[in-house]
Order: sequence, then C-alpha cells, then structure tokens
Amino acid sequence: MTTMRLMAKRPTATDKARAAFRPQGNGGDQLLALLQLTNASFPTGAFTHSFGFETWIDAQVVADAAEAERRSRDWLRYAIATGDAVAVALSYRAALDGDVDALVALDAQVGALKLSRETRSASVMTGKALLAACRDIFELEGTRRFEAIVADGACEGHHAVLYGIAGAGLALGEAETVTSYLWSSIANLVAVTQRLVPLGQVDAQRIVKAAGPLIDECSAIARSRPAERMCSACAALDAAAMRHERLPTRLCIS
Amino acid sequence: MAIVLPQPDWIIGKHGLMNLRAMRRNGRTEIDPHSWRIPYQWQGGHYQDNDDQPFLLLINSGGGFVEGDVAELHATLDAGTRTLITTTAASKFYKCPDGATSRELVDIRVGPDALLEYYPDESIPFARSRVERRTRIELHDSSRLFATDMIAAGRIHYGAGEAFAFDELFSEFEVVAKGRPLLTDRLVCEGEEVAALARLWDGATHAATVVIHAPDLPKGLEEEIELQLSGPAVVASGASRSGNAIVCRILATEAWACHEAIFRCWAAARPTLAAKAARPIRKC
Repeated sequence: MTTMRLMAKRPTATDKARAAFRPQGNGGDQLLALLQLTNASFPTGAFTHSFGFETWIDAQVVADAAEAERRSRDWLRYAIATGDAVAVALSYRAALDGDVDALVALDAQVGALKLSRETRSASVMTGKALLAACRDIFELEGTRRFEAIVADGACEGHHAVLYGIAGAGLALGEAETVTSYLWSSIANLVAVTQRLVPLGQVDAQRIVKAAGPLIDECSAIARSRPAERMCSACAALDAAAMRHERLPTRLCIS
Repeated sequence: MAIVLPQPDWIIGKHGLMNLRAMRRNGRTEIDPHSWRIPYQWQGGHYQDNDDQPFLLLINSGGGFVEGDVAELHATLDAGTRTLITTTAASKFYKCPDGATSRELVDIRVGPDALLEYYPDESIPFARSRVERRTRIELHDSSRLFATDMIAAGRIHYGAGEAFAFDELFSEFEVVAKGRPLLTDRLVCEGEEVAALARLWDGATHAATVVIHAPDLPKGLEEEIELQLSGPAVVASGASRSGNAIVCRILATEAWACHEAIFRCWAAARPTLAAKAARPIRKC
C-alpha cells in the first residue's frame, strides 16, 4: 500500500513537462502581458523581414498602398492563417499538455513548409529572439525548457511555435494568442512595407484597422485546422522570397 | 523493402498499386516489379542514356482518375542504384459529382549513394474534381535527387477555359531526410481558396516545384539554376538553397513554358547529380 502510494506520487516525464510549460502569467494583468508581447518594440526583429515583399516592391509589382494592402491581406489569409497561425494554436495546446514531442514535430513541420531559405531563417531568427526575450523579460519556465530542446538540436525554434508556448506561459487564452499573432503579423508587415512604398502613417494604420474582420476570420481558420493541413498557397510570394536572396539592393533581411 | 499489400475492400480497376525495387544487378540498375494491380501496367525499364540507369515510364492504363479512383506507387531504390521515373502522360482527375475524392499516392525510398530522378508529367484537376495527391520521397544523407511536382489549374484551353474550377485539392510533395521533413510543399484548398489561386499564382495557370539534393552540390548552383528558370510565359520563378538541397518555384501561364523551365533546371543540375547531360525523355 505504501509502495503504491509512493509510486502514485512520483511525477512522470509528462507531469514535469506540464509543470514546466504551466501558465505562469506576468505577475499582473494578462492584457498588459499581451500588449507587451505584441508591441512593435518587443525585441524579436520582426520589423526587418518582408518575406519576399521587398522583391515585389523592387520589381514595382507592389507600388502603391492599394496593392500593398491587397497582397498583405492575401498573405495573412492564405499563408499565415493556414500555416504559422495554425502552429501557434497547436503549440499553445501542446505546451499546456506538456507534450514536448508534439512541439518538436510541429517545429520541424513549420520549417519544412517554408520553401525559401530566407523565409525559413527569418522564422528561426525571430523565434530565437522571442525565446530570449521571454526568458529574460518574463522568465517563463516553458520557454526556458524549449530553449534547452533547441540547444540540444532537436528542433530549430520557429517563431510561431515559440509564440504559442509564450501565450500559454503568460496565461493568455488560446483565442487571444492566435488573434494577437495574426494582428502582429500584418501590423509588422505593413510597417515594413511602409518603409518601401509611398504609404503614410495614417494609411498604414487604416490598413491594419481594416484587417480586423479578416483577422477574426483567420483566427477561426487557424484554430480549427489540423497540423496535417497546414500550408501556404502563396506560390508567387515563395518565388519572390527566393529571388530576394539575390536582390542587389535590400533593406530587409528577408 | 516493405511491400504494400492490397486491402480486401480495394476494387479491382479502381485501386491501382505498384511495388517496385531498384537494385544493382548485371553491372547496372535493374527494376523489379514486386507486384502490380491494374490499371498500373508493367512494361519494364529501358536505358535511354545507353548506360546503367533505367528509365521507367509509369503506365496507368486508366487514362485518368474517375471519381474515387486511387493509384499507389511504392518504390525502394537500393544503395548505389540510379533510376529515372516518369509518366507517359499527365495525371487527369475527372469531375467527382458524388463528392468522393480521387487519390494518387507516391512513396519512394532512396538508399545511400542512390540517384532518383523523379520527373512525372503534371496533374490536371478538371472542373468539379476532388483530388488528393501525396508524393513522399525519403532520402539518405548521401542520396542524390532531382524531383519535380507540377500542377495545372485545370484544362485551361478547353472551350472557353476551365482554370481553377475544381472543388477541392490536397496536394503534398514532401522530401524527408534523416527522418525529418526537409521540405513539405503542401496546398490545401476548397471553395473560395480555389478561386484565390489565380491571384496567389500571379496569374499563372501552372505551378511547379523542383527539389535537388546531393551531398556535393557546387557553390552557386542555385544562382545558375535561377537564371535558367526565366523564359517566355514564366510569370514568376526562383531558386533557394538550404544546405544540400535546392528548391525551385516556377509559375507559368502555359504548360509548355513550365515544362521547358523544369527541363532547363534539370539541364543545369544533372551534370552534378548524374555526371551526364540532360536529354529529352522519349515516351513513345
């Protein structure tokens, strides 16, 4: 009887993982944590990546605010909502379950879906920056644990996967985590585009504001899509991202 | 090699299956068909380069995928073998009025130091078709690969045109190395997602992905390939390298333009991959 009681108390590997990825919060208001995580000055380096848009701008395929908006919205709906945002939802759930194997497999899938080297490295660069920021700023045990897994070489540490882990660790809701990821994605892309095409601050913010209903739609898509249907349909952007590697003059890393 | 056996509920003529193994024998690569079920037909390989490498033309006598049809190809390429696999014609997926899905599944394992050139014709999803295509190629670190995957928007020159009129498409082209996905080119679309492809492909009606893998790809090959991809009716293209793999995207408004860009890519890569020049593949 005593032995059985002792055995029952011994934590399993999953219990330990669950404990590591448990929601810790930021010690205060969750809204404040969310605002900080999605702030443009949060140190992830997202403002240096155009994901191929700079190639389009260089080729004058995107030359004005209207075209920038149309293509940004398509990217959000047909690449992010069906790809990275799905990974955010799934990693959020896997973190709460303490399912390290699922996180590692998801990270590999997120990387494999990015066909161009720069888009893939952008995802890893911003992921590692987010990892470091969450460790140093929020002191989240889950991101610390995932950092060790990345350091072991088990996975690369893609931004979307880390964002889901961070959302779970900060005790945000799943919908808030996914929706804020989508909002940050388009807000960052519009900010990058703003530096490259004639687009004023008001117009840029109008594009972000107008994306509101689309973000809600994308959030619903991302939260209901399984990992085996994650994809990006933006084939022309893939080609542009590949060509960006050899663009003679460039302001963005990707 | 793991041989896939037919299930009792597979209807003869509706569920094609072929199990192949390529091995070194008689001083060359030879391909053994371990089993096949109609509509796949076995006619053997032939040596179009007049060397040790067989060219296998996959023959699916069905002529196309009627609603609910399935075709499965499973192949294992032994260490040190060299094999080219192609098709006799495009895979045509006909309308599926009753809502069933037609499926084409390809699973190829490439052994150490083996070369696979997988160069099928395009897939054409007709109006109202529901299509599932899965191609999975598993590599060893030392495997050499040239693999293509091309999809048309539909019968673009049929009548007034029939582009992006299919009901549902799941298309997955996956290359796996060291047990991890190296690349997963996946397209899942239905409803308004199908219509959006016209924009997302920048007006193109044909999209191709090419993957090249070898342990000794020369520096700068991806740049040389990217220069070769541009051409008439090619609306967007690019090449990108990560480690020992190069991935290319080609978007074109005509099938011939996409084919020619793929061939130019093969011509640039084949001397490195197979130590010989590319050649037009004879199919009849």
